[in-house]
Amino acid sequence: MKEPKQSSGNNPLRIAVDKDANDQALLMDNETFIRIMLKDDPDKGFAVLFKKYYGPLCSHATRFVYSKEIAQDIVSEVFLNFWNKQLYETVTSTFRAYLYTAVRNSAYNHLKQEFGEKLTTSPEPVEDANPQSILLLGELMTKIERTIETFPPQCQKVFLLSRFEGRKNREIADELQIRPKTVEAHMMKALSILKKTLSDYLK
Amino acid sequence: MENLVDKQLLFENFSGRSTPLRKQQIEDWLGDPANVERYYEWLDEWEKTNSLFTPDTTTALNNIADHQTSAQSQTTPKRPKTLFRFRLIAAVIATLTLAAATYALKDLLLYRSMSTAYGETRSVVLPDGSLISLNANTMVRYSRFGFGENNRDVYLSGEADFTVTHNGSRPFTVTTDKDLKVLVLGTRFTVYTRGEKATVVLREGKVELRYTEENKEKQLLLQPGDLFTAHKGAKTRLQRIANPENLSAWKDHEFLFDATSLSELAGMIRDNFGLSVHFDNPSLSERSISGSFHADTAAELLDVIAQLLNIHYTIREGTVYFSE
Repeated sequence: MKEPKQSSGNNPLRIAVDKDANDQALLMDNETFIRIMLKDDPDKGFAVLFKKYYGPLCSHATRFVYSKEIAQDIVSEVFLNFWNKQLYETVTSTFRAYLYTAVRNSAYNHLKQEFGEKLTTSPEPVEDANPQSILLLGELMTKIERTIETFPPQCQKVFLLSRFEGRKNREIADELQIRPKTVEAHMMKALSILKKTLSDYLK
Repeated sequence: MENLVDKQLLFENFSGRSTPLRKQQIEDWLGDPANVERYYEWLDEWEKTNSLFTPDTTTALNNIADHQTSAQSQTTPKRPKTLFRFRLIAAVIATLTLAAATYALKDLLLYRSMSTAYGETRSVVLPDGSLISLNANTMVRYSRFGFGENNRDVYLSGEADFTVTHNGSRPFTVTTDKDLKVLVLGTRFTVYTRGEKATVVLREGKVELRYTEENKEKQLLLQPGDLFTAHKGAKTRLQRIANPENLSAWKDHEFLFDATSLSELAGMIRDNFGLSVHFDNPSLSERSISGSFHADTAAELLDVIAQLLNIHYTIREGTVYFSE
């Protein structure tokens, strides 16, 4: 008696439905629009695609690698590969799905190299990920955040300044008024905790 | 229960708040390739509203242009022209964005901001070690530069709970858009500011309020257990409450009601889940409930309410309809 569930799409809890539907229509159009542009004028199409997804993709990659700089490198590389191999002519999914999948895989490979048990030889190619691995990547993202939340306050602060913001040890030491040696110790601790808790995910 | 995966459920999953059952549900749902597309669509949307940082896209695009092989490189070596055009387009886009959001951009440069979507709560540690918990549909911002050193000013719209570190020389302030300012002297408290109403609840420590009433600047010192309410066009009110921590129970997805009427609840559902509420029969809005419930989604909360009062509800196009 509760809810005519089939009535309006598969989403009874839709928030602000009208606005949402518009956004979605716009998004669909954008994808098609960018696809057409990439055919007619690749440079222009690429610039629009880049502008649209670079920011959110960087934010997403950061959740895995926890460094603005590495995240931006990863995303730029994915875009460059997309361009240089002219993947816009062959990708069958939406560009959005392709870009997110590629960035996630690349971030995952980066973590594997940094924290994994052994060095991986070659990064796995971008495939249509199966549902299980899509969810697993989401879980890994949460796990990383939760792990960082458990760091003692000072250690967390040092970790975020050093890793996330990319600040130098000396600067951090000055700012927090601690010795550079202490900064190093905090970082060692943070990284070893991360390595330990992430080992299950990075096999 | 049939397999219903919606945006809210996925947003919870992205924020790491899915039960194993939900995860299984999502995994099944992802079996359909069309849903994989939806997944990334919503992931992109979630990243836009919960962005960890905003990179400099224009510079990145220019850098990448230097490494690009031209699209027609094999046939015509017209790289310089291409590159020029490329930059030009980038500039045009940048200008357009700038024109559309000069205000936003200025804010973006000067302030760091964080926001939560409907149905989402989130905790943030500020550079000075203070902790803010944001309730759903809430935005806070603070200076990108010098927070903790030159100032400790936070701007709030929505509802948030604060645990502030003590610093005698740098007072912590919370400014709302209602001419209400909270001056903190090391403490735990909750500020609510939505629509025409603003409230402050103090749990521990001491805060000073500054607000305007009848065009006069006023000051008020709160004691723990004080609940201050300001309503547009009405007199401000100061009450003593027994359990101030109840007013921040939303941090743990707990909903506490003490003879709360359905009409009051309607406001809360609107604030936190973005759903408006309609009563088929006006007398329904006067019925009330008491007790504490755990609910992660609007549906869970509505189920509880419907069961308790033995009434029905349906949700259509962003509106909850309650009926006998």
